[in-house]
Amino acid sequence: MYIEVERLSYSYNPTSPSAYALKDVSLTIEEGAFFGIIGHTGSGKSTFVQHLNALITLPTAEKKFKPKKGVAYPSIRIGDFDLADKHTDWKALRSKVGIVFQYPEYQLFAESVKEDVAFGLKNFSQTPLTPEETEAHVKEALTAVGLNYEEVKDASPFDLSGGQKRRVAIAGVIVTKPEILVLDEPAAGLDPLGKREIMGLLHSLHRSWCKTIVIVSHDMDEIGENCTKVAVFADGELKFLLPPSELFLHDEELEALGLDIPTTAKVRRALKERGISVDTDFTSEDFARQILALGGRHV
Amino acid sequence: MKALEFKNVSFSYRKAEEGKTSSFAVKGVNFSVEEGEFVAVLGHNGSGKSTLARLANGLLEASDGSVEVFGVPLSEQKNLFSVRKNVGIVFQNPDNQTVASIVEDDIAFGPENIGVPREEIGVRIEESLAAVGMSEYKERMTSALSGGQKQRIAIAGVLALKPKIMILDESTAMLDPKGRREIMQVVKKLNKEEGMTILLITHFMEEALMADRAIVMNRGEIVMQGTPEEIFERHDELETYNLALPPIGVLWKKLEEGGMPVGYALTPEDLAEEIAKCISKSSA
Repeated sequence: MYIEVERLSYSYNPTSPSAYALKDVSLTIEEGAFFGIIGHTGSGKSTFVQHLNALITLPTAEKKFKPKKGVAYPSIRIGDFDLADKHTDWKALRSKVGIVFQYPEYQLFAESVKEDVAFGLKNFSQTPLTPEETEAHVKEALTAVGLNYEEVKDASPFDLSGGQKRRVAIAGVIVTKPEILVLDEPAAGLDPLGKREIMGLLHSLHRSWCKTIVIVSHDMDEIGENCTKVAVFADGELKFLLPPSELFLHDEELEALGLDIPTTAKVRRALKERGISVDTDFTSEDFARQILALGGRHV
Repeated sequence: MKALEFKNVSFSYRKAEEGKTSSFAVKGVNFSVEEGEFVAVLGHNGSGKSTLARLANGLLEASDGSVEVFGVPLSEQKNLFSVRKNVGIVFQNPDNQTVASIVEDDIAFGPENIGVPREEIGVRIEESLAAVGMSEYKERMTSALSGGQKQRIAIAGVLALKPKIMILDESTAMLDPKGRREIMQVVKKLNKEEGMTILLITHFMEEALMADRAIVMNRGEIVMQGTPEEIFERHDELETYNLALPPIGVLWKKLEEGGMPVGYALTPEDLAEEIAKCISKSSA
């Protein structure tokens, strides 16, 4: 499933039209992408993400919608789902586009891990599942996030460590087998090892479970290392839509938007000032390779 | 003078079971912080570093050993109240530390509780807001502030109690990079200009670089101590404690392993300088 967004504008307060959270955003996210969304706080990225599974609905999808002549309304298509159409099956859409919010572990609520993970499944399945089917799905999801089902299934989610809680929360979203998984700051607040583990988990889910992954992040190193394409938001507008290898060549413009750049981009710039130019895709792996090649050329 | 001293301190959240050592969150910890010093405590989640913070101002009482603040032991109940005035803690979540809807009321909360006279409270509000660079926000709603601004207000709230030691328990973990920089600037300024003793608890290696000294915790014990540079040079050991190098360290390590004799560098500028040296040497 691809995501195609056209002319998306949104205001939380339509009576003061100057305050747009999103202004005329058009972009496509291809199936199979590991897509990154960046932007400082208040740039509109969360508002954008909430449109993707219709937590915020488009004006044309409102029950009382009456079209005005000459207005180009925003449209969002996700695979076969038309989010501008009020007859769309929202439940089906939401089970195909899973959203993991920031600090999802704060949303855990059930008495046991297995009940917590099963909650979304029960709500989204079209036909009632037997206890055996439910258990099989829950087991599969918990295993996919790297937890041992037998060990955690009966534990209270509140007795787990921070990293484990976050995994359980992700399991609760992927249990419906979404094709697109959107995560808002998936690694925030974790220690460096926890971060590495969560990013590793997302890559393994990307290979086996969810075709498309979209992450919102403030961590440019994380974006540079992991994403295939990046959207940059500022003041509700889409400023850049590029792969990291091209995006981080715009270091000065990004910094003018109040954004950071990856460490590799900083070293590249400092080298440039010393008359050494490096051509890289900005992952640390490739950057080190290019530098070593430069050093070796003269040996 | 020693601002804070831990003497063989152990702590367990559960009643110790006979013969079980794993139940200790902090185990046999000895360290001290001099007045005016800036010490960073590093450790992965669950290493005991937050327990250390709570022991330092008597929110938790040591199961064994003693904690002293300016030579006053915290084990005696009568000392607790006066010691807490000296040791302020700023926690992780900005939203959990706001008690009032207006900034100045929020800052007044602490001083009001310890019975500071009204006129004096007004002065303290002005001073603490100025110290964190938030003077113009005095009459704003706390709910309309960004995460970084809320944490600065939390720091101001602690400053209004005029503590001698400030503990930051992962106070930047929930902030974006901009908010993180704001907080670290304030902390640095308090330490350098006001001589405030700082205990910074973090898992961001970059932040630990700003400290005079760093302590690494693992499974409740202190496993490494030294200047931040000394700690980072022992990166292989750091990894055994589930701590990862900052991105710049990762890059440095990749180059070194690839056979480039780069000297140790912790900033992009320094690393670029080292690389430039290596390249010009090899071409010479």
